[in-house]
Amino acid sequence: MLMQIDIAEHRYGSLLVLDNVQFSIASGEIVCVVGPSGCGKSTLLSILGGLVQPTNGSVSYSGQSQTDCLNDLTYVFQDFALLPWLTVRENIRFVLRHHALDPATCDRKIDDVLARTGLTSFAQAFPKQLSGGMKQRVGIARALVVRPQVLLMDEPFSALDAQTRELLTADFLDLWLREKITAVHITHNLAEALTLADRIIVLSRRPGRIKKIVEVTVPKAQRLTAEGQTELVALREELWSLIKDEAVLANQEVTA
Amino acid sequence: MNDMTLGNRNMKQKTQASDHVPFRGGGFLIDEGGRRGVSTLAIVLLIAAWQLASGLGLINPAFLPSPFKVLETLYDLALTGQLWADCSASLFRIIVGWSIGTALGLAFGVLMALSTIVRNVGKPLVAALFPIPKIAVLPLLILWLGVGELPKVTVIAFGVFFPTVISTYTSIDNVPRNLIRMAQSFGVPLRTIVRSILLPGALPGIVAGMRISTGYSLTIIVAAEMIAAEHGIGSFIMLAGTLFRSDQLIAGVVLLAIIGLTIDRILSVLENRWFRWR
Ligand SMILES: Nc1ncnc2c1ncn2[C@@H]1O[C@H](COP(=O)(O)OP(=O)(O)OP(=O)(O)O)[C@@H](O)[C@H]1O
Ligand SMILES: [Mg+2]
Repeated sequence: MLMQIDIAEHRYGSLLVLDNVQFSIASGEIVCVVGPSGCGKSTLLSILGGLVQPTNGSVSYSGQSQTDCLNDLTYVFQDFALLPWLTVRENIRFVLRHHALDPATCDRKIDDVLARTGLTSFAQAFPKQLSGGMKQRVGIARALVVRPQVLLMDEPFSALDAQTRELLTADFLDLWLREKITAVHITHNLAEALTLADRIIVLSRRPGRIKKIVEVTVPKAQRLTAEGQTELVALREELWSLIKDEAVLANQEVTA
Repeated sequence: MNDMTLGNRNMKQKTQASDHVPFRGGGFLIDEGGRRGVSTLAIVLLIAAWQLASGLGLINPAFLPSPFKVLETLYDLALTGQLWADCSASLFRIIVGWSIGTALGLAFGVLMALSTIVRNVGKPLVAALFPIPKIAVLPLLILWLGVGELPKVTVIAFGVFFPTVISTYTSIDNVPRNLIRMAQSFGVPLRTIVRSILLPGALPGIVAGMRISTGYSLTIIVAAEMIAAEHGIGSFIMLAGTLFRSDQLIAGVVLLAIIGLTIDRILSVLENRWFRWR
């Protein structure tokens, strides 16, 4: 197992946010996390990457140290988090600067990820000149350039329109088929989860508990083709029934 | 780009808008280039009207001399060398005092943004000292530092320091937190986060603060020179006042406006060069 998550509980002050969340992540696997708004998904991801310390629990990580991996656990952010005063190229270079690479290696790495994410012709653009989809491509390119062991993605496509989201999801699936990236992917979008995930973790409403872990056995190469659809539709029904109850209950708590 | 043309278009489709959605999206665009012609024209028209009114005898020249008279006075002052002596004295004080005050203010503002201790100590101190009219401390400074350049430079530095501290630390505070988290998640060292995220992110706010602090230093130096100085635009205006020389009074004011405008242009050039990304 590449990562072992064992969070007995996490609280903000007295507010219990995560309760007994335990799962593991295998190398090359995409784990999606779904659950009603406010159930602690972002908190979970922040704990995974070491940005937040769980009040009680631990996360262990056992990646073999690969020579060209510069940042084992790497985030892709919902709001892109690009530096507006740097061009696309400089934004990607920004996360390499403190690694003391020689300039030629640096340039080669940047050119490589720009090509892989279809950004080559936008290298000199500033973020404000890019569409939302392009900005998130930059976010993904910046994450890939450090050759992470695990990508941590917090609703990476949710700020995008439906079509762009589908395109980027398909692109990400392509990328996975080529490179077998390990990723934890938080989403509200069941179609997205069913396209990408090996396993889908369904969290209950706050405090987030694991309600069910749904395995998606359809091979990834068939996720967007006709063969896989019957099974995916069935899984979708199952997921929706799990989430619907929680969403309704969470909503009642808010309105009560 | 399309917005530019819309922004400049005249908005007057009010009456015949029954079947046509009227355009109401104009304005709020930052395109100083396109408007510069208009602002120059406005100033030229104002001066022309003033000259016309003076020429027609509508204005008593003892109170408000004509633009030509003011220009003539400035020219005479330039010939005698007095113009240069007074301007250079004031400019020297402003440049030195403003630079010191800005440097110290930037340093302290950054410390305040980064350290909770410095912030907790600094905030009430700044809140208490900022509103004091700085000219009120000049006599004290003269008592401490003598009558030379030192108290004047110090009072400017003192006046510039506080607005700079405030603009620096609020601008740093306003840099989006998610950018800092992003850098942390990539293992970027704190030093680089400060230098490459906090400072560039805060720079637009800091430069906006500089507009205010340069205006401040102009105000302070004129007041200080009126109180205690042999040279300088402030003492020149003071002297002109006691001699009832309205032409020289206006000339002094015009001089100050020119200096203010020059500083503004310099800052605009810097802004255009640095903030292309906005
Ligand atoms: N820094 C914080 N301090 C205090 N409470 C917080 C903090 N961050 C999140 N919370 C609270 O913890 C709960 C979970 O937040 P979190 O952002 O993890 O939810 P989420 O599942 O990501 O929600 P969404 O789907 O809306 O993004 C929420 O009730 C939120 O108000
Ligand atoms: Mg969230």
